[in-house]
Amino acid sequence: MAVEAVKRIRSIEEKAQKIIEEAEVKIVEIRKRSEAEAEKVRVALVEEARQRSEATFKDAEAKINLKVKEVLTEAKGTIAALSEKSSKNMDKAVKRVVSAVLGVAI
Amino acid sequence: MSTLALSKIEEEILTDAQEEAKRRVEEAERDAAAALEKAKAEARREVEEVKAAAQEKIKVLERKKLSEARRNAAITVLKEKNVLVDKAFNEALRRVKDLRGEEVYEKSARHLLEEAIKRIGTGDLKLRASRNDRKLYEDIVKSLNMPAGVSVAVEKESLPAAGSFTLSTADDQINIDNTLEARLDFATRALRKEIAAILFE
Repeated sequence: MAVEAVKRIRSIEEKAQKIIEEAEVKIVEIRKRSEAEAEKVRVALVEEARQRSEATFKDAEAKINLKVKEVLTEAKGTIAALSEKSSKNMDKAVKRVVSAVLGVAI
Repeated sequence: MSTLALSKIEEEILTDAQEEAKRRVEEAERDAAAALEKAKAEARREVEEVKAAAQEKIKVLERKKLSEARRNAAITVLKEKNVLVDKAFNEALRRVKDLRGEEVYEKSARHLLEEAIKRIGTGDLKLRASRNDRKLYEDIVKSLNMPAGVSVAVEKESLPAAGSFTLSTADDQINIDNTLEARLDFATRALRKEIAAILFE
């Protein structure tokens, strides 16, 4: 009877060990799945941010280009105003130079 | 050992193993959830870094492009101003040439010659006139009341100039260049700011 009992206990201990080993396998799977999921989440978030940043950058670049155009338009306006003023005052300026070159008032 | 006692031991061993297995799996699941939260937090930090880098890139680009545009605009405006100022000087030269034969041109020739003679002061002086003005200066020299000790001879060789003259001492130590080109050149340097002010006032 004692030998039989020991055999049964050993067998049941093996079953118990198997239960623990199966749990360990499951734990490894959980860890792997967790790591994969974490990486997937990280990549997805960062990629989304990168794409949003790219879009933001493109928008900003377009706005900057508009500002650059405004600066150039403003310069064109300044040049047009200068040209208009110089046309109006050219005769006076030329007379001043002519007087200086001739050395007498004209 | 009775069969009943044995069965109880067997049941206890299996129950303990199942509980232990369950505890370990639950612990692993908790760890996994925590790891996922940690990964999300790290990802959010990375996201903030990506956003900050993009904002910085935008700022740098804006500074660069705008300062470049402003500098180019300022250069363009300045170039245009110079073109307009040059136009005034070029127009002045053209107008001076057109005045040849008019009273003011002769008045100027006389004035410039008297002034040049006064500056040199004394001696036998040589006058070289531009081809177009040679006759004019010959007449002026004849009609001028020369100061004592001064004589002016108009040289036969003409100057390759648009108008007016040079006056020099016999030994060429002193030479006054009163050609239109020289006077315009001097005026261009001396009056540039003033002319710009007149044009753009």
